[in-house]
Amino acid sequence: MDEIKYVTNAIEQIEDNYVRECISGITDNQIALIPLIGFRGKEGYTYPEGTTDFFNYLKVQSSKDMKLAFDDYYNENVMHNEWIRLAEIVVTCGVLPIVTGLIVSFITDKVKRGKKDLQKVKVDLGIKVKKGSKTIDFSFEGDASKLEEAMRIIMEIANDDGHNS
Amino acid sequence: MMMDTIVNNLSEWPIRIDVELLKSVQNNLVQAKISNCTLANELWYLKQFMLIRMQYVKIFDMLKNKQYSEAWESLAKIENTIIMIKDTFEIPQIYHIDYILEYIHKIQKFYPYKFFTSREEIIKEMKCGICGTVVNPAKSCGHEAGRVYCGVLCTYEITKLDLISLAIVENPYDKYAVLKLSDKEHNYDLLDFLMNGLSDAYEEWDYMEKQVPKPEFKSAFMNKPCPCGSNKKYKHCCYGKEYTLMPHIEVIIKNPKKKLGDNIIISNGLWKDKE
Repeated sequence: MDEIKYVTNAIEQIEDNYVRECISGITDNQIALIPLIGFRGKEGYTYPEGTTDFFNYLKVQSSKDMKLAFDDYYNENVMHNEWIRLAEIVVTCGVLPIVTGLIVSFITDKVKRGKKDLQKVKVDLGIKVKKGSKTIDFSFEGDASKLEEAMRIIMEIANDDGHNS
Repeated sequence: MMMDTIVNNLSEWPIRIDVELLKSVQNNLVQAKISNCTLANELWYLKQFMLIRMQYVKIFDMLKNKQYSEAWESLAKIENTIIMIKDTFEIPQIYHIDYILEYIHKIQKFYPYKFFTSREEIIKEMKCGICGTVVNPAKSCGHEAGRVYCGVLCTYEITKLDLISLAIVENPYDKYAVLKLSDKEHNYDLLDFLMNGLSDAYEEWDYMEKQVPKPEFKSAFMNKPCPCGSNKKYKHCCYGKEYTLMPHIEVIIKNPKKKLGDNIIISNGLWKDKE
């Protein structure tokens, strides 16, 4: 199961205030991570386990201004399986190539350090690419070994004129 | 001078356990924490490498003495330590730490521990182990978990937690929570078979996993009655069916110091009835 899904959404229709404000305010000099709203029926905002590492990695490697959509209380959700889950990323189209490259290197380094096989490690991630008043929301679930190809496809779709607004 | 001695010790293979040297590293680390942070950090890493190497030798002894649970915990502990260190430190090849990690994973494969309990939870609050600040990446205290600050490892301490559920899983994040059954015990025959073939912790070995025909199907003929007793010809009955196969593991010891024996059949399954 290596799957890329994407859908285009209008920013003004995003229900959550924090997420909507974060996305509408994102600039070419920023990368934001948005939380999961509600986890297993519990109210509140949570980020996937290990988001601190990912946040710091993006901060150092991209030299962009990093932000969390909701940063009053930082909670992490911890799930059962061994999948690598990344917090959903918000970027402008211009920053997407940097971020996709960093996602691939972050995951590849992490897997290799553990002496694990890229084909046996599963990854789950989401990227919201802001284009004017809309976002293209991408999700990828699949093998770490397919990530580089998935990121290339995501960039192609994001750059497609048909999605320009 | 002392650094040279430590590096020399870490470069030795087979491992030479030098308890006095370890004590000396510890004493120097305590001193350096006060006066020289760079040295303290270096000594912290060197001490970890010495401990990992010593523990690896001990694990081999534990397995020879059938202390399976203790050995498993030690394997998981040094695996976690190595992976954590590799996040922030380039480990010199000559210390054989990568080699040890590779063999930890191989030994784990021979354990009958295939099911684990795992928590789903919401971590409501974590505190930095160095300064006590509540962890929030957007409001960082400057310390990162897994990094060493003046000879002290930064870890995050979970101070508030909502437990959501417990589950039985095959690939857990941490391998400590091994599932045990009240009326069964784990079957360590495969692990014992491996350990019987190894003379010491330094023998190079590998394994291959295959599917081979079960003994009753091994000499079946296409046009003869099927071994399952159906009275049909084998080719019209069980031939090619997955259930006629069983898992087979082939152990290859590079330069064996003793003979392992051929075609040894080991009792199948992860569990045995308690005696």
